[in-house]
Amino acid sequence: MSYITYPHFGPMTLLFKSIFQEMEVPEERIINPHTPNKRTLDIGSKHSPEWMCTPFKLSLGSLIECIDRGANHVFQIGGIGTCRASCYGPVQRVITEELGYKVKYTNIDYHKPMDMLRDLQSVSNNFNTWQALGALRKIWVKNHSLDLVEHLINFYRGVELEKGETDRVAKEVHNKLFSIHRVKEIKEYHKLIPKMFEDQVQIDEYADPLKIGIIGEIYVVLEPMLHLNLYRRLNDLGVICRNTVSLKKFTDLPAKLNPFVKEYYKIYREKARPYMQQYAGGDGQESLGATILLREMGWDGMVHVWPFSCMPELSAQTIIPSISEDYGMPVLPLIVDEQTGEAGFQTRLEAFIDMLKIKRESERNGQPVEKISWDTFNYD
Amino acid sequence: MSKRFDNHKLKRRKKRVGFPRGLLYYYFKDMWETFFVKLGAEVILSSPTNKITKERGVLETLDDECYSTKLYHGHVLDLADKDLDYLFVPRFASRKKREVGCPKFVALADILKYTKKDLPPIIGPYYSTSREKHGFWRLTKIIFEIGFKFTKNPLRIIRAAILSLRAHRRAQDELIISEETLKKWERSEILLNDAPINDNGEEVLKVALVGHNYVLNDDYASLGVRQKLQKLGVDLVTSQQMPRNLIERQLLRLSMIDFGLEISEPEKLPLKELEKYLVGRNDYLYFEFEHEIVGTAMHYLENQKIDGILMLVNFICGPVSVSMEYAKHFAKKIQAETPLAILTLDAHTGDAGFQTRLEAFCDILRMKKNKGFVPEVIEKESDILLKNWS
Repeated sequence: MSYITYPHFGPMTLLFKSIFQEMEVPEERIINPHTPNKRTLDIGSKHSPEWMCTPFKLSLGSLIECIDRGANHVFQIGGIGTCRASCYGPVQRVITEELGYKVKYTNIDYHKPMDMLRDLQSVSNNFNTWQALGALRKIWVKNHSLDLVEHLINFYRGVELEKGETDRVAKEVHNKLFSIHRVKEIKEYHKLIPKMFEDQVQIDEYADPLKIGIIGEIYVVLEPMLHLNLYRRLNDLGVICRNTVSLKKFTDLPAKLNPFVKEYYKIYREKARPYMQQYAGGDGQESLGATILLREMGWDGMVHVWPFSCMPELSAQTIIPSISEDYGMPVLPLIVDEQTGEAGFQTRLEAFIDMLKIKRESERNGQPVEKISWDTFNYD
Repeated sequence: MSKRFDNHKLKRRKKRVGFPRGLLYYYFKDMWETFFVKLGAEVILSSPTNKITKERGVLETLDDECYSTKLYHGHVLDLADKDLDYLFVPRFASRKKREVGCPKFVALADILKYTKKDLPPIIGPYYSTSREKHGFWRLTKIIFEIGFKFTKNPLRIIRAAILSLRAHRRAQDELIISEETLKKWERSEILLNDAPINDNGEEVLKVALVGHNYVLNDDYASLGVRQKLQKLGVDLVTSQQMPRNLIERQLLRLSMIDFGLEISEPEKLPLKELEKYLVGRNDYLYFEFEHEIVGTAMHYLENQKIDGILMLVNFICGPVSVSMEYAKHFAKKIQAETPLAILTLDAHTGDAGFQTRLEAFCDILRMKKNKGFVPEVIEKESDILLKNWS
């Protein structure tokens, strides 16, 4: 009897959970990771190599916790990658083996969608390829909606009049989203989501908030434990923000197959080409491109979060000052690891925002404040 | 008259191409040098790593950058005022289907372009077989694109390319030894590197020196580890010299259940039978330059024919963090008798401290060799045998 588990990955954990649900794996055989805490990170960093990147440590910690709860079949990334991300599976296998656990690893190579499908099929309730594809389809549709909800939260929470209103609506939407199982219904509901937020959350239209984009390594950008609730902190300071990376990069199969659709990350990479000619692993090139793109759309600043010792983001970080200079776009680099303290984080964010405000005042020359709404903020 | 002479001189002046002496240069130097020289260019090398290179490099880069990259920046600055026409910094990603270099190599040319002013134009061809499925045609394109910068004669370019590939192969053949030679070395019949100096009559130790090419061959960066070991009476084999089939066998072990220890020669099994022992798909160490590091360490941990293994890594090298982990776990798994020491190098490593550590390592190896065991106190206190003691 195999008990399936998978590492924690920010809000996307819900998504992985529903993959196995759709594959009709019995409920008791899926062991879902808890929201990670300090202890998870401690367990992870105790058993990982010292110089390994922080996402490795956190995911190892959450895996070990799950294995302790009885899991014996792990889904993790593997295959041939560019940076260290693709050896998470193999290295974690060696580490858990040494700790004395008998665990089977299924390493998923996200470069090969068909193999990914076959791996998932092998744990499903005797699904044929077509059924498995149907189940996966629900996932990427849901991923689309989840991304939209995240963007909406980060917008409305910054300018809401009554604190906590956005979170309430978001929770409602999440619950509803994961109770629907038909693709058609999800798609219909997807169209209603912005309207729900608009109706239920009252915003200060003339609040004149700063607009900040978040770039960086995908795991850190999506995981609140590592970025220390960066979005909420920014929102509390009266800033609206938006993350520029998404799991869609890996899961959006229709966009990959359709030659007429240009995926978001390809747009970023094209923008970054004059500065970094070739893809150098992770999300480095996208970080550069997003900085340029958002500047051209009139955003105020960027926050670049990445884990300590991440190789691609380090390359990006080295080039970012020249982009900053050429386009006049302020970028705040924040490097996180298992020892990052909250106070220092907060201080740096506050200082950054104060400086952005001063910069905006000097650039504006007394022009009137624009009225803000979701439509002016959204750029998809 | 003199003016005409000057013009003549200018026309005949060869184009100057600069190679920073760091990172990939140590892997492909014969290939690159032959290619550019045969094209009619003059190859300018940066001066060997020294204190000024290090200091300039450290100032120039971010703190989290790896030590070798810091030195590389220093080398580039060293070349900047040498009146160059081009700087050669390839964007090398991989050369085999299932192998990848370091992601930093790809972005290096762009980083140099945007962090340094007044650099000559960079020649930075991109080659990646694993990601972009580049192959023969891409290589041809790169060769001609570079070649036409120096000469208009396509035949000359083709000749240069063939000669350079041949030079690379010859250099590799000279460097890599065969399995028989290695066995002879293990029996102390021949020497592979400089003769050890044992003037105080101590027994000669056999040690495998494991690390990246650009660490071991750079005398300044490795703090002259080869000479130091030579003086301590150590007979060396480096990881670059190891026979490739031994390394591949150990790599196969990495993706087998329990390292496939019961099978002595896993690479000779038929594919179908081998699949039974493999852990699963997508379980493979794909960093190309780590192969020889992991392979050599694992080989000597397993066959126990030499006295010790010394692994030199530079600080915050990403891929090495993975291979170190593999080597440590393999050692623990098979309860290895051969001591493995991992020494970390960075910009602040002092010469005296390094010397002391090497001496301590050699002392322990001698103790083990002469008495057959290491006193328990030392084993407990020093933590040397398996753990990172830097």
